Amino acid sequence: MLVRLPQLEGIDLNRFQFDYDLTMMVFFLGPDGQVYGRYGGRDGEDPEARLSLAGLRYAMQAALRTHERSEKTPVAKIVERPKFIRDLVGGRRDCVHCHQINEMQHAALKRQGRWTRDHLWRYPLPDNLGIVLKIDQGDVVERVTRDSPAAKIGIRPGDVIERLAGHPIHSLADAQFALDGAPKSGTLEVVWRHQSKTHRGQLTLSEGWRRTDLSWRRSLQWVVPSARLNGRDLKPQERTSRGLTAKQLAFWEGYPISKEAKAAGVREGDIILGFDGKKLDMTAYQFLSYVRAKYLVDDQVTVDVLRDNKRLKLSMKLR
Amino acid sequence: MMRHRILILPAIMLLVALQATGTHAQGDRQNDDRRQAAKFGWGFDLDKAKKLARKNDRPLMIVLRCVP
Repeated sequence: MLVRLPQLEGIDLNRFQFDYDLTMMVFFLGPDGQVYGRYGGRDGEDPEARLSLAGLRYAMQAALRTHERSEKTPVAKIVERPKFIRDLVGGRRDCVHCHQINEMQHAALKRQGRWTRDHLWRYPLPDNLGIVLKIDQGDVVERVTRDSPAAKIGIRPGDVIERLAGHPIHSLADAQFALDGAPKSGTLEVVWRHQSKTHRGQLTLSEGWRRTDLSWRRSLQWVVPSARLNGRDLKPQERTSRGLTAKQLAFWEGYPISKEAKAAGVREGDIILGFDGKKLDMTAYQFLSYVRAKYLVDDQVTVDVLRDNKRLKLSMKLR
Repeated sequence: MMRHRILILPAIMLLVALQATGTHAQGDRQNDDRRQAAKFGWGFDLDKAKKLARKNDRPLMIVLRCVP
């Protein structure tokens, strides 16, 4: 049976838990309301890069197999009682965009004095643990990042991820849901199949493993900073004379200088080399996106500056 | 002061009109979306679908899709 819901009013948010910054999510439910699986998800680069009709068909077939086997293992978190949008806003709302639910949840946590930066990192990609899943077969490993937690326990390309933290996996959305419930550090159980043999292991979750690019998230624009620095990239001859490589970030800070940069001591005509001593191979334009993806508002950074052939480190708070 | 009032009133009326147009446009898009989806067998009533699913022991595919 096919149901299409363009609004979340009246929807039990405890049943339909997903990344509310997405504009589409598919749920496969059993007749008694148990969640068989999900389909959807995106990365920071492109809203549709991780989606395909073949991948959707693959997740649908998995849901049908679950139904036919009558295995019906619920993958939803334990739900105590339904939660609706009206519970978050204290009244009826006619049209609420999905991302506004995230905003309401952050606001509620802040009101209760329980909000921390950890609440920003929701629905991490399995890529963060070194597992890149195939787009057309959402439980098959496309590649494994070298030295990642997945590589360290022997997961290999072509393996099938069967379960993460006990949740059955058939799509990226299933994996992101399972990872959303994982702790900020410690371990996470993974069951995977290599050829016909099933393996079980613990993925190591090191501090900061959940961090991902937040810049695409409508609900979190208030934590996405601006570099507050901008200008023209150095020309090849300007680089050579200063011992800078052809690709490394190096741009002339132009006029007008932002109030934050000015407060940090940046001057017009300074050459900006980046933040925090990192050598970045990118243009001034790419640096703007880099800062939006890698930093948060209120982060304290060190601006690496070249002024009169002297290297300076200036402290600046991002806004 | 009078001149400011004369300017503010049309500005408010324009904002209200634009808001109403935007809401109508969204409503139209949602209706179009419904008409198109219904042609391919999609339903829009979750409670009704759940009852039917229980009655017929069928699984449900639910698409949550924002229509801007």
